[in-house]
Amino acid sequence: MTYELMPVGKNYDMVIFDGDIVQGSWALVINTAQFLNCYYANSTNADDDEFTVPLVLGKGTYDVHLVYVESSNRAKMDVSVDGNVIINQLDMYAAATAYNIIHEESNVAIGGGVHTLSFKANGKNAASSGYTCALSHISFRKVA
Amino acid sequence: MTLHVQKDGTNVDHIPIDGDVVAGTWGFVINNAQILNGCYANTSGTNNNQVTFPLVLGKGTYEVSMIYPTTPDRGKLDVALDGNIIINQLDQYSVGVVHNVIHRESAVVIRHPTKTISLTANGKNAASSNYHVNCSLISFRRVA
Repeated sequence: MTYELMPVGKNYDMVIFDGDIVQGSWALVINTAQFLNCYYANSTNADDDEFTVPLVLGKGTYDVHLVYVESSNRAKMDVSVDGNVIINQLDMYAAATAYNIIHEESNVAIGGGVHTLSFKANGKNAASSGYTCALSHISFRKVA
Repeated sequence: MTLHVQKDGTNVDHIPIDGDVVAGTWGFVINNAQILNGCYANTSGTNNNQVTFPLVLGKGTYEVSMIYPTTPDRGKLDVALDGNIIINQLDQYSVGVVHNVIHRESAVVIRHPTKTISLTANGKNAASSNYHVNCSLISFRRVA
């Protein structure tokens, strides 16, 4: 068998079920209406609740897709890589619960190597009753 | 045959759905209380049942998380990469059914690219009635 080495990182699909907690209580919630039968959420429902996961990507430009649940108690959420915000205050509020919402962020430039990917509640819609974030999956698709 | 590998590892979320069976009968078991709507398990429930999957991981240090249900008829599970055990006799027994249990190994060092991951029933808790072992998802997140 021959090994052929290639640059680090192309596409990456991450099921969000476990993270390193920075603030709040985060846990998996089963919901049969949601993609992957679940979402990961902060039951503490507080502003600045945050968790991180290790992320390794090759240097490049990526389309980022996030699958999440909207509801009436949702926060706005920042997604960042090494402290650099790549999705800014995504408003997850909706008057009625809506599953499998997809947010796309195009042409996100990310450097090579080991990174820290962070998900953090950052404010809320004026109509929202809380600061809950609820997300299932994030994908990084390299486009350049 | 040429195996394209990354010299330095990247993140991998491995969902076991169809493996190469070494011993026993294995299949995906639907359970709508579990992440991904179920888990991969040895329905034969015999000690030393084993299944393997191709899994290419580059070198690096990884945080490994596995999510699975525990029940009164569970065995202990070995997880190995190219025969090297990274999770040793994980006891999946519990008195009642508990879904979405997460086991984490914080610093798994991979010095050479790997080709195969195996799941093996290896013993059982004295209180368990059988040797069923199971897994919904195992993630490898490189941290160094």
